[in-house]
Amino acid sequence: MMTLTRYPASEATPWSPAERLSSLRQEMDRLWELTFPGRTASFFTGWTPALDLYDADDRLVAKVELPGMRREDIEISYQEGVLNLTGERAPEAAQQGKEIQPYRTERFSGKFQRSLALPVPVQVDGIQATYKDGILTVEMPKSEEAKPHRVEVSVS
Amino acid sequence: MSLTFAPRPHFKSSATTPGTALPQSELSETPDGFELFVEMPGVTRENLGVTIENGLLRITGKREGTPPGAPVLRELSQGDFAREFRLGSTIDTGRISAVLEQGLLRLTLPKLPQSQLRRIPLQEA
Repeated sequence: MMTLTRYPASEATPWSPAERLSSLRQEMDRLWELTFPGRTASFFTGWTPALDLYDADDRLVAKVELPGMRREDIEISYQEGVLNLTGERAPEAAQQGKEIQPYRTERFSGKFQRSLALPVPVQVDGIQATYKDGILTVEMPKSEEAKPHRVEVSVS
Repeated sequence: MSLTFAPRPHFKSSATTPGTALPQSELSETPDGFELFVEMPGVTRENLGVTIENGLLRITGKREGTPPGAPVLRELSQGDFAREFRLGSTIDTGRISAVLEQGLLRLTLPKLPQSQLRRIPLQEA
């Protein structure tokens, strides 16, 4: 499984960073198609929020930077060892619906998707997610066999 | 290009304080002012600083909290946020308001009521 990395927005630019990345995204789509044929190329459209993953002995903790979202616009799912985050953010100007002219923007808007292959198996029923101060925190308790323990391997 | 006397607000593209992260921002113009959005994920109201001095708007955000475990993957920017914005000559600095919601700071920068064309009469010598 691949791990996606976020492209840090460069210094302030007068145009949308998303446009500048579109050709790179197309390249990545092509690569993805080559590696995993059958999966849709649209996998990479949109933007990918920055993510931290921590190993806290009995659980994994993911922290995702998603400033200015509404709770209902964030979707979290888990399947076969992969944590999947999707959502959408409209540009602030459009959200307000008033006569407003974008002047300069560095922020990402539109759909985002982030998939993360987890390093250890987790207990699906115990996954908990919170959203506070623009940070999404997903706590995933490790399954029993994944918790730190020692296995004696007998050598004959 | 010198923007020192630009009438509209503009923001600095480089960190003014070493070791701080530059928050991503968005600036839009409305009929009666400007709306400035600054991304401050992980910053609480108590840890946010907004100051205006000599037409320079300075926004700082302190990020607290200890990592919950050993890092496996780290992409979030580290350290505190800091960014400066030059407000220009058309903003009414006395009426600026700010709201912080889910790590997104929204500043409303009203224009001074002087948008109408004014003729300045030439005085008799």
